[in-house]
Amino acid sequence: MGLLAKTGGLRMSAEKQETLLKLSILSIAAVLSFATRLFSVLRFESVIHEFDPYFNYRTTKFLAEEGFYNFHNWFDDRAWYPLGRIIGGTIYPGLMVTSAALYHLAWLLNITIDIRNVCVFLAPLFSSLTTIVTYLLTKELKDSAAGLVAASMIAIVPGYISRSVAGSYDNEGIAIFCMLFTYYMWIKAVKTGAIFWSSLAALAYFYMVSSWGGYVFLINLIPLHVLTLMATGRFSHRIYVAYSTLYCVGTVLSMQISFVGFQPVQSSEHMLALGVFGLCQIHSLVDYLRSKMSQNDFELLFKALVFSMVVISFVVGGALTVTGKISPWTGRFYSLLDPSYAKNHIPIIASVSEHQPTSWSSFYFDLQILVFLFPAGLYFCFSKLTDSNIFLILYGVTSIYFAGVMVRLMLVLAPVMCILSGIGASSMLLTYMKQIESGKVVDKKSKKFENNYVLRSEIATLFVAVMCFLFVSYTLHCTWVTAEAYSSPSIVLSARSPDGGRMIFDDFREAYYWLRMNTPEDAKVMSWWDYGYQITAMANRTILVDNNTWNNTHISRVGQAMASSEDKAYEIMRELDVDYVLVIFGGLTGYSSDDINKFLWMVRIGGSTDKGKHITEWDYYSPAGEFRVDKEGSPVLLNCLMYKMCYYRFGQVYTEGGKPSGYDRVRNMEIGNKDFELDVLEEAYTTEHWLVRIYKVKDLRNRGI
Amino acid sequence: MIEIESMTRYVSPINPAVFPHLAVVLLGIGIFFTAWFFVYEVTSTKFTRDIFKELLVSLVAAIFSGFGVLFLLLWVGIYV
Amino acid sequence: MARGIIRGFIILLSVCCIVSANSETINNDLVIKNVERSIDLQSQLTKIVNKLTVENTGKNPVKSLLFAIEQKHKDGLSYIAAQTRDTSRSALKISETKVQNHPDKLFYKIELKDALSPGRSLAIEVETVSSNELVPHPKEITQKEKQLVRYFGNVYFYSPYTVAKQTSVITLPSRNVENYTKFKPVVQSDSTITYGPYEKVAPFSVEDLILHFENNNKFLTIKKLERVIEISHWGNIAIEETIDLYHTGALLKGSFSRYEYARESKSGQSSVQNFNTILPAAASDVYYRDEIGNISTSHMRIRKDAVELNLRPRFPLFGGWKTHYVIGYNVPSYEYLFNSGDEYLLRMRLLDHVFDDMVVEELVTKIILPEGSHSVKLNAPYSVTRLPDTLHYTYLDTKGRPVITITKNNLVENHIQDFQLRYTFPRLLMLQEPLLVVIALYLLFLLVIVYVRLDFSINKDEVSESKLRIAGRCEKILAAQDRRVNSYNDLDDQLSELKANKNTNTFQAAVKSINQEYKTATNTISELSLKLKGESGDVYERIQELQKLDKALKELYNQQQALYFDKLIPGRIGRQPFVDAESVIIKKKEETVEKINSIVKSLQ
Repeated sequence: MGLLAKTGGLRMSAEKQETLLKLSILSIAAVLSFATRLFSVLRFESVIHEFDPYFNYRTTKFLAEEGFYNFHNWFDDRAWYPLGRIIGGTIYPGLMVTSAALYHLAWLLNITIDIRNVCVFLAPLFSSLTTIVTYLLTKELKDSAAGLVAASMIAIVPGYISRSVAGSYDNEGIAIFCMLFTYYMWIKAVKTGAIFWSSLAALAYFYMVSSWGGYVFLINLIPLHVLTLMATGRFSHRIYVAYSTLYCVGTVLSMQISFVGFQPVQSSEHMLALGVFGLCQIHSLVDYLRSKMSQNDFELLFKALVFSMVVISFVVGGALTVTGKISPWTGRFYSLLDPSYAKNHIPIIASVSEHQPTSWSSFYFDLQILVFLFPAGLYFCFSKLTDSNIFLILYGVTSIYFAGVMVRLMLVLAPVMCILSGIGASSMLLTYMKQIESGKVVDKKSKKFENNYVLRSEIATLFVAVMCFLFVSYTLHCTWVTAEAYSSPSIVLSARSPDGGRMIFDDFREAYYWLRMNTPEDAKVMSWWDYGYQITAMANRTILVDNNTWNNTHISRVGQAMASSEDKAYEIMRELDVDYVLVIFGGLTGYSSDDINKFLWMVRIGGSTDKGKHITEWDYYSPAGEFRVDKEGSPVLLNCLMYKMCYYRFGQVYTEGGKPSGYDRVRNMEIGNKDFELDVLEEAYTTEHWLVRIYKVKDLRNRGI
Repeated sequence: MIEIESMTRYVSPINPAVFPHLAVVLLGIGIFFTAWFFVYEVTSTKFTRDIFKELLVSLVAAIFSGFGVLFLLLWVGIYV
Repeated sequence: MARGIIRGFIILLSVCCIVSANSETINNDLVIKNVERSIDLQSQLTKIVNKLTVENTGKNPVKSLLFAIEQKHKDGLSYIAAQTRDTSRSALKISETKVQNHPDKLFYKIELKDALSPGRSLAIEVETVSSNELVPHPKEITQKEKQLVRYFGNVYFYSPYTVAKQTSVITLPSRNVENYTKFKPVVQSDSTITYGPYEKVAPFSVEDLILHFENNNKFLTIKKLERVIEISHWGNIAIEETIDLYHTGALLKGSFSRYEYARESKSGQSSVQNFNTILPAAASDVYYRDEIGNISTSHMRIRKDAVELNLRPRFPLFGGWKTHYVIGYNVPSYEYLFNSGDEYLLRMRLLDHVFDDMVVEELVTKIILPEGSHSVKLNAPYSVTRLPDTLHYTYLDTKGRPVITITKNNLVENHIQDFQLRYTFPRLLMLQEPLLVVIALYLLFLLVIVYVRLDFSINKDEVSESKLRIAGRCEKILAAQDRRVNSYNDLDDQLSELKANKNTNTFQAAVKSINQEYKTATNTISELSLKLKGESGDVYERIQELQKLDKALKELYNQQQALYFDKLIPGRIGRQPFVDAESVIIKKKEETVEKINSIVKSLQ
């Protein structure tokens, strides 16, 4: 007997099931994106990573303790001695303000969390938010199914994780969220043409500007979108309202950030946005006129208008560039367009590894199956073009170009890869899942429509199985990459000891803490700029140069000191008022990114200014043209300050069995200059594994001795 | 004043060994009701909404989650 | 009479004097027959044990005696205690006092248990511990050199009474003695130097003693130790100690060579690479960190009666170097907390062990009580300064937790003693914390409930509005339909039971309530459908159809019931005709059910 169907009870309606699924998938993805970034905390500890984050951490601490106005007016005398640095005017404060706000909120609720922990966990927190925003954005662009796939993908994509693990407290950690949020608002604005959404987009853009210099990408992409819409004849009132509001409000707001200042109306990087804004006005004027005029009159007017516009813009633009009102094209921007530009012209930019062009393998390493799903997603976007799809296509294509130019811009590419792959995967699955189901029902009713496909449902099943396999492999790959490659704090090193246990090298903190505790409060420390931020943050001592490489000549001076002989270096050190010198030396442990391996950059940068003209790279190569530290190395190298500081008394140490004393385990050679004494420096401290060596600069000799 | 000899050693009203279990069970129930509440809120319209059901479900969710959160805090070592 | 008044006046005056200055006089009747003094200079501390034999040569019994400290040793003195030397070794009460005519010296009054009667003698022992009395000389040494220190003391036992006979034994850390005062008779053997015996020494005699010797032991001083004890009534006491550590030995001169330090055992003998901290046996979750993160170089060894922590600072400490760290751990409450009803008593160490022979210049102990505790009474083992109480805010607090702060300067290991703290805490207040979370979450939910009811739209969208309304009605109708389905299912069960048992009475009783339910459900549906009539004719039609079908179905059930009642139970029908008739009904029922289901499905 057929039973009467029940509607309520424990069985949920389809709508409720869908909601529950959406909610749970989204919240699980958000939790996962937080959790997967905690590897480093679990393996090591809750600590800030690498270099730049230490600066951000220090400024955040200052902001949390001293308040916003003091922060804004902060003149930092701990860095760039004797120049100092105006912190408030030379940083994007969004990150610090965000964490200080969270910190104060937590304390208001009596949650007594340490500011360091706020900083450590901020990036994972914002990754969770990014996951949710990705869902919303993709839902706007396609549908919620694609949104869920994209959200799950971005939760674990290594390209984004690399910059947002717990402890990696950098601008990028929150900037990606801001960027996607701005895009979401922009798409909403384009779709509705409402001032409400475009104002929100402007606010989101303001947050983005306040947090990362990469906002330039955004403020070029959105005008590009508008321009493309104009070119394809899709320009409408909606877009006019959206863009005009966004540009006006957004630009005024962005000029409130003192580091940005008047750039939005002066620098060439922002000119596309301004130009498109003007074009928007002209386009709507033309549309208006066309609706009021006869065809012939209009064409005449149009031609005249175009001609005069082109002439005026060239004249004005040229005049402003010549008078210097429009700032010259900066080096970083050139290197985006021409990958070889920086290498040839600015050694500091070239010396940073994250400014190098991306290799193909790192695309696969950071994105895995997304590389293959991305074209599929593009195809689905092209197959149903809408205003918002065009934006996605533009975003995908431009960011893939920029990611190819610079490794660090992989970060901008990762979200769009996830969105497009989400669209691709979801569309394909949608097609094939239907075919699996229909295979059964269709049997009875009408076979004649189905006979063009053989084994329709079997193929569909196979396809779904393959997709599942890809997803599983993606998950495994991402987890592996996160765990192995992106979760080491680089401030604590770990290695396998011969007996299989884990050895911890905590030498950096050992040295920094020694400086903090046992040197005078106002001691000036000279080191290569890489370690500047860490020294100010952890050792709390004044340094000469740091990772904010704004003054090339100053860095060059330090490079000259390192590359000169002891006497000449002493002059430079006296001139710069140096008390301590810090070098990183990996020869004993085999830590390869030490100062000797960076030394050629110091020589190049040292020789790039007038004062260092006498320093040429070729003096430091052996006659055979190699960079060697053994007996065959050039005598200039073997007697320069850096060499002496690294290898002082190293000649007596036996590092490896069967090798002579003074055997460098990084360069794999016995050092050439073993027995020497230091005249102007004395060893102040060397860490347990010799990773960090600190020297004290001796006072001037007494007269007559 | 009572002498120390006549006092008993103080132990927690709940054995610290069961904090993890309590946290998991209570939070599990709490999350179930929270999910129910949110699904109900999202799918119901203003003509089908029942204020008593909402208040009841959310109250149960709040009680279980609240105690669950407390034991979670105790479990992870934040002794409130 | 007048004499009496004057005498009374004098007595009054002297009483006044005693009360105001609290000063004592030296009782010359007391004579110290013998002193055996042992001075231990093996560590950075000066530990002196004086074994005295006191005799009362006067006529009156003596209740107390005085113990004097030279002016130059006044500042260094950190601990003093006295006890009898008989088998009971009971502690004697000792307190600081002033003595007439000797304002520059420091005196302690030792109160005897029983008065010392004339002619009798008593053996007591006075122990003193002083810090900062060993001065490095030379003040600066290189890494290779060993550390030499000087001690300035007194060859004689410094006494307010005449000493008949005395000897002093000085124990040094090694046999390397550069120089010592040769005041005969004196003997050096191995690492001990014996002065004496000396006889008949007048009160307050001083003969300078200078020792210059090698001492490579740990010269570590804790400049400030902040100990925070946080009590949770959920069964835990958390302890955190913040320590500022200085190496107060000879300063390091010149450079520090890691090569020599690692290679040569003689290099950096006076430096401190690690030390042991002993924690309570129940300590768990130990952490060791500083401002820039965890210090990964420590080992924990669990012993039977303690947890021994081998702490290694980030860098070896040479003379003049300092470091700063935080160590924390948890202990279960039953070890230290006692209660009786709402009365609680905490008995814990005011100061705990950091390293052997430690010196603490400033101790601040903070005790954080649970929120809502009151009537706090502190009972310290020795005199301390109690600072004003403060409040501490942390997780799930509303009005703050009371904090008791105690401070004291210049402490040594002998100060590791228990304090007692009584307070009252209503037990019910423990519920405050979970309820706070519950209320916070509930407010959040209420916010959602309010939020979904907000409607800011200016113009109402009539179409979607009515759609939603119809959907809502449909849902209610379907709920009523569900109830009807339930009643049908019940009816089916009853019918099959009737068929088997043929018990008409129970069936009728059951059917009555089922029918009642059915009726109300049907009425609800028809009422709701009337409301729908104006809004959507289409849906109304379908519901009318549903009602019609339902009526038919009900009729079929009635037929089935009648078949059982009239034919089957009285036995008026043969087996085959019954089966035929029943199957006809059932078939019709199935058809109707299928129709109803399709309508219901369309309504969803």
